[in-house]
Amino acid sequence: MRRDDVYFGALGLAVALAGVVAVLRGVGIGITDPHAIAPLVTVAGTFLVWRGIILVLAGWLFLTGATDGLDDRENQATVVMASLMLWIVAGADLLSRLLGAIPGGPDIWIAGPTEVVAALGPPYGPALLAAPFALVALKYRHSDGDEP
Amino acid sequence: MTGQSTVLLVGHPNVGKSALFNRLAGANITESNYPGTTVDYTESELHLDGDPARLVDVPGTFSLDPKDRAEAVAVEFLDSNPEAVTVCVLDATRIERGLNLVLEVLERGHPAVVALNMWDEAREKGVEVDVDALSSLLGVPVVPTVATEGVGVDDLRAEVASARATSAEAIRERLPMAPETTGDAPAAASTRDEPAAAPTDEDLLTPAARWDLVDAIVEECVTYHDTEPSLSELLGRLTVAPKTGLPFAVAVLYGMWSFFSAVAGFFTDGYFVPLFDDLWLPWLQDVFPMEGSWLYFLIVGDPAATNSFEAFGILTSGLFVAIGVVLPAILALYLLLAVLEDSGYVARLAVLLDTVFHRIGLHGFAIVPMVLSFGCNVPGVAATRTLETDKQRFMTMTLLSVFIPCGAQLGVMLSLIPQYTGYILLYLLAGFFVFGAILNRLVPGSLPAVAIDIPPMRQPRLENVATKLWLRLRAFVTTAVPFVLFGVAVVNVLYLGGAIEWLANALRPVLSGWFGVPGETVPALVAGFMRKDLAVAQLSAVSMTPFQTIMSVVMVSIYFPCVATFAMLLKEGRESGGALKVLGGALATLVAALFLWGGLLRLIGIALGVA
Repeated sequence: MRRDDVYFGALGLAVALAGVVAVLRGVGIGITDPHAIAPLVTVAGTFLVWRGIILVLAGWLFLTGATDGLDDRENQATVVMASLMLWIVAGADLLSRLLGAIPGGPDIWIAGPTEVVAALGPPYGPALLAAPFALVALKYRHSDGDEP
Repeated sequence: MTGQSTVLLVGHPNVGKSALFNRLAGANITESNYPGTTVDYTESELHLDGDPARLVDVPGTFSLDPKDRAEAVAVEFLDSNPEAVTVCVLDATRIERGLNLVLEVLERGHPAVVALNMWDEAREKGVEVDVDALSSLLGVPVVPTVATEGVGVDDLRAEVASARATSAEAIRERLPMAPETTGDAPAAASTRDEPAAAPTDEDLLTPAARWDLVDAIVEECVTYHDTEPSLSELLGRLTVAPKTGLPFAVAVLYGMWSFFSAVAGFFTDGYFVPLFDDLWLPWLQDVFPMEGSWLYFLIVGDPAATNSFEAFGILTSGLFVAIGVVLPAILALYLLLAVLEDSGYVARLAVLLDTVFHRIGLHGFAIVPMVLSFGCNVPGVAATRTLETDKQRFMTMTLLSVFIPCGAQLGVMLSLIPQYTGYILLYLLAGFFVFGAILNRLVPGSLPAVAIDIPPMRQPRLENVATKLWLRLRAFVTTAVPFVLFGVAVVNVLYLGGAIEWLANALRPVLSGWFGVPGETVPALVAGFMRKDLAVAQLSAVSMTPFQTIMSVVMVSIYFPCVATFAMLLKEGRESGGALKVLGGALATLVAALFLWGGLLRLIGIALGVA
């Protein structure tokens, strides 16, 4: 088993679990927001069910790629696709925070840098937290990508 | 025709004809990475050694035996311009099929030049073409090009003057190992490079004989090397496989929706709402004279209004809806559509959803007009020209104009009722498929099987995305904005004349009895004929329960298409079984949809205890 099989398998498991939590919280099942335990992470906000479903699917694709073996180009592409899904959710979250912070509210046309940076601070959703870990998939851009 | 020479760009769909047209003529027409972008011809001027020539980008066609309206336009152009120089644009990565079309063109005696486009991609895929050998065999100039980068365009322009006519028989004679002439090959084909003046059907090769000739040419000029598929090719394959493609499609649609909401909200809520409500509206209410007069009512609207949605004057609500709400939404949506189109993803979505669309009598490429309709219904209806049968065109046109809300309408919905927009959209999409299935059973006609190319995944070019965005935004500002302002004026005039009150009273039994919405929604229905976005905006001024708001927005969406879509339905209807038939069918569908689908929503509301 390659090291990247283990790496993306673990990432897939974590992402899928976070997705399940998001879906359950989204449909109103009383699961406590992880923010209560870990201040860095939160599973809340709009479109929670949809975000959860995408995370579950992305996690499943990571796991599929990892279990089928990442020495195969097609499985590498599956992992890249799962990463893209993760980046879409993370990018949408980041963009929404950024564009929401810039106008600054009544009588302020553009918020100061401090307010904007504060809006980008923690807590973060699972997709944003997992997105940097998925960057490893970029090594599969070329067929000669080595193990991490 | 004048004495000016004509140059026709001919080729399969999605081989880069429009990109080549833009490069040759310095024009800015829409290029997209899916077949069927050009459904009508576009012309510009090309300078050949200082002499102007007419350059025409004709719709893509797979053969000169047309299968749809767009292909028919291409063939008509060739037939009516026998002297025109034909630039046959080939996808160099799929050279065999392109050569088949080249032979068809040459058999008909057109002087031709061959552009081997996507030369860079062909090399990456290990397709090596001996250009000189191919040119010698065909007897016409052959130029490798990369239209999107402008590579080879100057050479192509120089070679247009050297375009020559030749014949299939002459090509056969030049081949070292000519394929055996089958019994059904042309009996009287010319042996000269100059073909017979007016080729008859007997002079044309049969498809089998033509393919034999293509194989022989490829055997001489093309070498294929084995290459490992690139990551983009692998990703492209995964996007059309249901197991991986459907999860990815969900993520893409979520990303689209989030981007759309964030960007539209940024401009509208962040800047335009305070700009219009805190500055523009109070200023206009202060400085505009004759408060209480009909002119004030028309231009400024309600003098006591505190926000621009409710004032309903031409320069208050009209301007705010058009510029403050719809323009940012359109900007976000058109940007997304341009990126998705150019990446090749729209075509993949079509393949992915082919099975679903087949259940309602359409094939997956109906997604292209559908996606375009989310920007604006007008180009969506126009794009149905690439569908093969009258039945498919009628069904797609009707379903689009009834069930697909345009970007402008979505923008207003998102601004007014963001918490319900997603549900309304899902309900409308469900209506699209339910009524599609019903129409499929009721409307006579066939569903031919089609084979359509899946374009390669490509990184969208910033320049092309920007051009496309600019062209679409310009079209919106010049055509839609006046309609919004005019719509406000019409509704206000009808108010002043008492027509709205009369209509509200007349329609109240139906509106309250069947749909459960107040008679005050009548002005929105009137405005909806001008612009759906305006109608939704107007609903914000009516006092309703949340369910009534959802109900009335669904009604406005399903009810009569806006006037621009109506005009396009008329135009396209003429070519698809008759304007009256298409329009009558579309109107009957929308009345049925309005009462049945709208009524069903109310029943759901009653069952849930919210109606």
